[in-house]
Amino acid sequence: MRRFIIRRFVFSLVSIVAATMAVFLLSRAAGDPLLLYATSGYGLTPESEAALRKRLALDRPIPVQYALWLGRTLKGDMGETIRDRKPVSRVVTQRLPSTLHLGATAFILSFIVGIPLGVLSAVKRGSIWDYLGRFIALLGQAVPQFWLGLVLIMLFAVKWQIFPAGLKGDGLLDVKHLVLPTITLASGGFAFYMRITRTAMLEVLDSEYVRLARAKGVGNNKVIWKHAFKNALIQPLTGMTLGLTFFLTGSVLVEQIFAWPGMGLMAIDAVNSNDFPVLQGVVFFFVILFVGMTFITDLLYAYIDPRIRYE
Amino acid sequence: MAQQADIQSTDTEEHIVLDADTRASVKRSWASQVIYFLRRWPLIPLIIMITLLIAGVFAPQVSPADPIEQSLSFRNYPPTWGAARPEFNTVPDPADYDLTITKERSAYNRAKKQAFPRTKYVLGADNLGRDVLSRVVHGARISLKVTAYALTSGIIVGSLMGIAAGYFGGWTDELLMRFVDIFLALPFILIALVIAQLFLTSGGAAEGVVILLIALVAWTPFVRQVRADVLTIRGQEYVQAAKIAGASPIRIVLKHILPGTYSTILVVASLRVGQLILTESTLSFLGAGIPDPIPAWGKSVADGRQFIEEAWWISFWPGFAIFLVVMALNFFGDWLRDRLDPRLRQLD
Repeated sequence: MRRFIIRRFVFSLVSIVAATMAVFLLSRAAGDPLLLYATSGYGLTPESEAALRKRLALDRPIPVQYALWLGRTLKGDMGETIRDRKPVSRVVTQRLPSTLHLGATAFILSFIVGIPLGVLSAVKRGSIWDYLGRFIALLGQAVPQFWLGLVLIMLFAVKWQIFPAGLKGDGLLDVKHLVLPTITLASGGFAFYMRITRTAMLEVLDSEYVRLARAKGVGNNKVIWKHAFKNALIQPLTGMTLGLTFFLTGSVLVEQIFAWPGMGLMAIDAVNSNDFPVLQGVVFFFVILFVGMTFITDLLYAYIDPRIRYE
Repeated sequence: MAQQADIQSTDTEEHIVLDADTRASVKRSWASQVIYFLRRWPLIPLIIMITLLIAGVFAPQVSPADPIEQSLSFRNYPPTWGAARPEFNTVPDPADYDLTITKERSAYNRAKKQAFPRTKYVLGADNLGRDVLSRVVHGARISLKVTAYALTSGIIVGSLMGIAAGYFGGWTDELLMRFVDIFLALPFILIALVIAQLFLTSGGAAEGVVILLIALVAWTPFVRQVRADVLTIRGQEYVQAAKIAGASPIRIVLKHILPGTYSTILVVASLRVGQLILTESTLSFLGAGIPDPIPAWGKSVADGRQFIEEAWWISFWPGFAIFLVVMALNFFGDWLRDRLDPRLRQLD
């Protein structure tokens, strides 16, 4: 078990380095960052340009710059934003709660809708409920989130004016602003959970111990919830990581549509203005969130299913 | 004929794997029978896919108008079945002057119909007076093109890596699979945006870049599934026999292992197409897709965003097209998987 944990941990670190390095190299290739700080013609002498370059360490080779960035980041200093020279770590952590708020709500919603529907669909296999459930899941997987968001805005914000079209309210429980973005973000995840729950549940319901339980005369409800469901739940629980990528990439889109002030929105702004320190910071947080979740899930999985440990 | 259909439907019922007591507990209403038929034969998805194919291949021939040509007097013109809007009543209404003139009233209606024919823009016109239907049809062409190239390269690269990982095993396997894992941990959308930005600024061949970006997403599931296939095939006796008979590794891979992975590749590919179309439209929605006059679906949705209050049809129809197509493809992929390889159910 210890070897397994160490291996997974090293692997997580490599992922983080790879992701941040990729973004670092790419954003450097996009153009000389100095030009964003100061365009020539504003009294920038060659001497002061050289001094600025030196201060930002832009005169060093790119791998060295990356190493410098990584070293400083690990100490908690992620540099300054190019546009208004605020510390990146503060800007990013200010936005982090909004993204987590939306992501967590959508995650909970898709979980508590998707899993019961998956169970219902599996238990009543071949019935109209099954087809209906699977059809809804099919819709959820196929609908482009940016379009769903817009349609929801058209209907609920423009036509009926029930919910606001965007922005975030104050506090955790400001439901009004939360409803449309949450539904949009949860649409894909819910379909995903419904499908894996259904598959897992069907597999378990077909197993011998469930048959035995039925043969013993255990009541239907008890068989479903106690014998089958508990075991079927392993799949969706461990499939959480895959769901998490859903929510992370989804948040970039959904925040854009609903002007939700989170990291995704900031990331897109950063891309458009080539504010690479911000982009680096956002990617760093995204990857840490993602890799961290993967790591925890792997451990959970290994804990639940001993076969994994000795793979 | 009806009898025949009956026989067929009972015949197909034998195919589903249900144990006796579950089957007894399942009562089929007529609605579920219809759904059941549609599930067994993916009729609707096939119709949508064929429509997509025709729209994509023959876009210039089948679209009613030029997708790029603007006509400013028809800005935000409503679709045929949309509510008529007052600003398109520019022909003076005789009723405004004298309510008793009924003859001129019908003349007026004729004139209005000529000036603003209701059937000219079936799905409406966008903010520059371009025909939305034609733009959707031409959007199919772009989506098809990008996805076809990306998927093909994804299949080739992914399958090769999968075969290498499965056949050589050991360090090669470990390295390749870890590479896939790391790749999956990258926040793809952000990286794609950065790459697109790189090429947008230098004004390069954006279409090639978009294809490349989509290809970057396409390949991963092929590696995993093909590798799993190769691992089982490699252990088969006929492969061992070929080895003993002195077949070269290249021959073994090409003649004995590769053919065994075809159905897997087909199924994974069919399940992947929809996701690729979604990714392509997402990128193009975020402004990292094919550049401007070309009417990619995602971009059309983004274009209509600011007119959402007065002209919903601009964003609605292209998005609806994405939705329909992706749903049809996913449905078809599921169907193909159940038919060819139920083992792959895990892919869910």
